[in-house]
Amino acid sequence: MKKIKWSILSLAVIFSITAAFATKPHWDCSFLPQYYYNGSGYLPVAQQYGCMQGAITCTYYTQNGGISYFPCTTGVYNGCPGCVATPATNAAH
Amino acid sequence: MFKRQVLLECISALLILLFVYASLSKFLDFHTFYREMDNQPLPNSWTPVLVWVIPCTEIAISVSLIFERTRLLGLYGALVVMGLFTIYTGIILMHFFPYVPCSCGGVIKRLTWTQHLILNLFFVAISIVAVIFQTRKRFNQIFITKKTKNSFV
Repeated sequence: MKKIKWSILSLAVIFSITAAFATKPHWDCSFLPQYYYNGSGYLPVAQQYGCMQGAITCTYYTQNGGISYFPCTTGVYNGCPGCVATPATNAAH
Repeated sequence: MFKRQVLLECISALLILLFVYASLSKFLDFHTFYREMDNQPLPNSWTPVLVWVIPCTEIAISVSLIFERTRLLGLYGALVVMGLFTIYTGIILMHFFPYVPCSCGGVIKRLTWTQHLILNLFFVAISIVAVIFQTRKRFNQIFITKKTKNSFV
């Protein structure tokens, strides 16, 4: 039983360590200045920003002075994490 | 008895796999983990503490699951931690917080919050099974030892 126990546990430890290293991002783009797309252009992100749940690109980075931007993080950009969106005012009033 | 023991080892191995992978992924990409923790709907003043407490707790649970003496403690720890993660996921899904943050940690971050909840519930369930099996095993061991001692008297 001891042999079975140690084989199962060592396999789990080896597999988890290998998996963690294998899925480690090779290059972290988030160290570079981040930009978000506001629909018409790329703007620098707020000092404190969040990427909410979503499958789209949250922030981008550039390596050629803004000629081209590449996706970095995923989610929906929020320049004010924790802020509650103000309700839309009715323009008809 | 043998089948139960093998099942107990497999559950422990699964929990070790999850906790070692999750904690190492956090340490290997610490900068991103820190930013993602800041993004959670918790006070940002907690981040410097949480970024160390969470992965260190996961490693401590993994180590305690390896050894027979500390396994029950490790299983209770795993149950509490997975229970807390499940409650947190449930609260997020119920839109209790003003916004839904990204889900984080290695390849697990590719899961949606609903998938997260299912994964967490699975680990809570197997932790409960393992706690029951390990408690019974402990009880049997104590009972048998006492019985053997008494037979010598």
